[in-house]
Amino acid sequence: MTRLAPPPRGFRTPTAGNRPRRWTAPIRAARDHLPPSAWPFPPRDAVGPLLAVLAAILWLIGLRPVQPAQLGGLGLITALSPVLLLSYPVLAAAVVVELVRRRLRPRVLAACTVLGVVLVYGLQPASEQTARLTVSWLHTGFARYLAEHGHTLDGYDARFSWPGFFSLLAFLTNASGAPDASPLLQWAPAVIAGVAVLGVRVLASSVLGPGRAGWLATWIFLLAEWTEQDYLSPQAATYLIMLAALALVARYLVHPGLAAPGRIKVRRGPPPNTPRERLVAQGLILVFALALAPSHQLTPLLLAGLLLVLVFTRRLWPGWLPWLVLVPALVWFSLGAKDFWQGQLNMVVGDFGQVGSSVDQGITGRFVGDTGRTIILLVRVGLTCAIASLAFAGWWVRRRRGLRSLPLVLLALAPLGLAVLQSYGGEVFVRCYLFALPFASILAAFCLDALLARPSGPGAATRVRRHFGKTGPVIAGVVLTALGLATVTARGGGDAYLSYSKADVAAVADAYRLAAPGQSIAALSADATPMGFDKIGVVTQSAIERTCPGYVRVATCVLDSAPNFLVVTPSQENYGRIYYGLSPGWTSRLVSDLLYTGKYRLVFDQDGSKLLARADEEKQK
Amino acid sequence: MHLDERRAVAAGLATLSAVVLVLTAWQVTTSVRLYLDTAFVLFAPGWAIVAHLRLATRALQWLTAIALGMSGTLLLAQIMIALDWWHPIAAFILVAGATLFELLRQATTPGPARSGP
Repeated sequence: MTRLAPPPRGFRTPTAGNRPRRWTAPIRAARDHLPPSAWPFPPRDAVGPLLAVLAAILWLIGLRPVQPAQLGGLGLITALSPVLLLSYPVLAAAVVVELVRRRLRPRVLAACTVLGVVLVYGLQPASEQTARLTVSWLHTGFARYLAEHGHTLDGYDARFSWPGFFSLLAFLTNASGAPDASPLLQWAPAVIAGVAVLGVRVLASSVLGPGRAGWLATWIFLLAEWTEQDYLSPQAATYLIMLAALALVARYLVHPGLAAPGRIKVRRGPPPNTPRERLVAQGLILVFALALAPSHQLTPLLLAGLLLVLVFTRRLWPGWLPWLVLVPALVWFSLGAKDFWQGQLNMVVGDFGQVGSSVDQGITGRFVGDTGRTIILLVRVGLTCAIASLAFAGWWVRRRRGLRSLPLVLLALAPLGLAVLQSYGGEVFVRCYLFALPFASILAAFCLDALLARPSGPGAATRVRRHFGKTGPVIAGVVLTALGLATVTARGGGDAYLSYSKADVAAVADAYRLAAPGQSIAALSADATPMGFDKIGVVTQSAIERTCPGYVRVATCVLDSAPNFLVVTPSQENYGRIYYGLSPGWTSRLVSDLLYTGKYRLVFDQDGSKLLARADEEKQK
Repeated sequence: MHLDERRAVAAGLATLSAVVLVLTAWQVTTSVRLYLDTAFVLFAPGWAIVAHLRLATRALQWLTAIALGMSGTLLLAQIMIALDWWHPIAAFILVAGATLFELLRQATTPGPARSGP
């Protein structure tokens, strides 16, 4: 049923160059004449799978529950056992062993990839008590409001102006009879990252062919996605849809291929496939564009931008495809998101061209906190630079082979244009990296592929010179291991205050249970509390940090703002220590001070998580 | 993808569709139902359509099925919100029923696989 696109020019199939050596010829001939059952299983065929199994066993043996309260500025990495950490180099070795085989085994590589997703992205869900990140809890709150009311809450939050994903969550929870989507939160990153890896795999194999280079691109993406944008969120869902759209474009609507060399001066005709295939691809992209438009403000614009790059480089057929994506997004922005831009037009256009502001908010402004946090930020910067360097080296390798083509380079650079448009609340460079990563991984794959014997991928058949010999696979393994360990470190870097215990969630749930409509619930930090998953628009939910920078005289701040309920958790304690250098026990002292005034009383206390209620409210009742 | 494999996938997803329909009819309220409904939305409706499109590779088929399932359900939910006609359970039963019908048809229809998309 399948019809593969013709391989790109210069593409070397995985079996190319598979000539038997002279001394092995008699053995091979003898083996070919024996029935399969009589020939023993070659031991070296088992090395890759055995290493992968060993990695899984090491990971499972080393896995242990992590208490967020005990973490410091370096986050999760300090709580991981050496046995567990050993599983990453072992898995990288398994992958390299599989990739240097003469004949690739896609099923084994696919199994290794699934294992890699579990080992990297399943680490936090498997070791922590409950879901991480305040914003993921907040998203379930938005979806809960939609499920209960059937409409958005105007003027509450800009994210309600793009409610598509929340509508989907509300639909799911309502149809399932569940109160909210919180059961989905904990393992969502592993599932979303797994689908994203599948997306990059499809994209890479469309660009590079089914050989080793495509697998290397997949693995570079898998081991370098440190951005943590894969929680239950509109951006994560729309990222997956965007990858599917790009994969369809690369497979059916690009001619010549993205990795094909040479500058195209005259637009060529349609790709060498059937009109039905192209029509199907365009129809699917239209459905995806319609779903993207009401779901996220950034992703459809970026997808349209990437398609425009393909139009400018004369690779895309048809040339009007970017408009198919752009028009629904602009229509939704004009009509559906009116509530957002009517009140905040200055915020939308005010940042345009302010690259300095984007850099300040997105890079330099983030370097606050203790030494551990600074190290984590440096690891993230280092990972980004490493991927950029590998991509540049991949481009250089192709250039030395005489394969000069711009599309992949431009596609990897195009997301940086976002920094010109918006600072995006200080997160724009994280988004730039995320959107550039699939294409940077493909370019970087050329570099690692060149380290290994018998390079694959487009252009591999031209001017191949062996520089590395047997050290090539070792270098590739070391690079993959370093990327994997750095990503595990970076992703868990904020877990001292971004991961929560069940007691933290119970404290907030108790506040929701006790709070009457119109009352207020406060946390010391909005970023370090699992808040917002209920009572959206019913009670006021705020953070003391906004009116009390650095938590200077924090007890006075609390008494001045006088929330009806105050949630205090160990994650907030860690947040204050790491970000503002507060001494250990600062939240305990705050609670003691508030109780001493007699204006607050303790209504919940479990495993360090506390809920204080205003005493006078109780007297009035 | 081989015809037998396609039929096996269709049969598996048809079973999933039948299970979520039964759980909806019984109004079971556990997290398991939410997980099964999520798996259904991610895989089943998209696969019911994508199986007809004859995409180039198995991985592309799965990726497109997931993206299509998410996009289609998202659009359906968003249209209900926009029209102020919020009946997710009825819509879910409709989607699951139509998907089950189509997947059963794919799982039971004999005949050779057509080649190429």
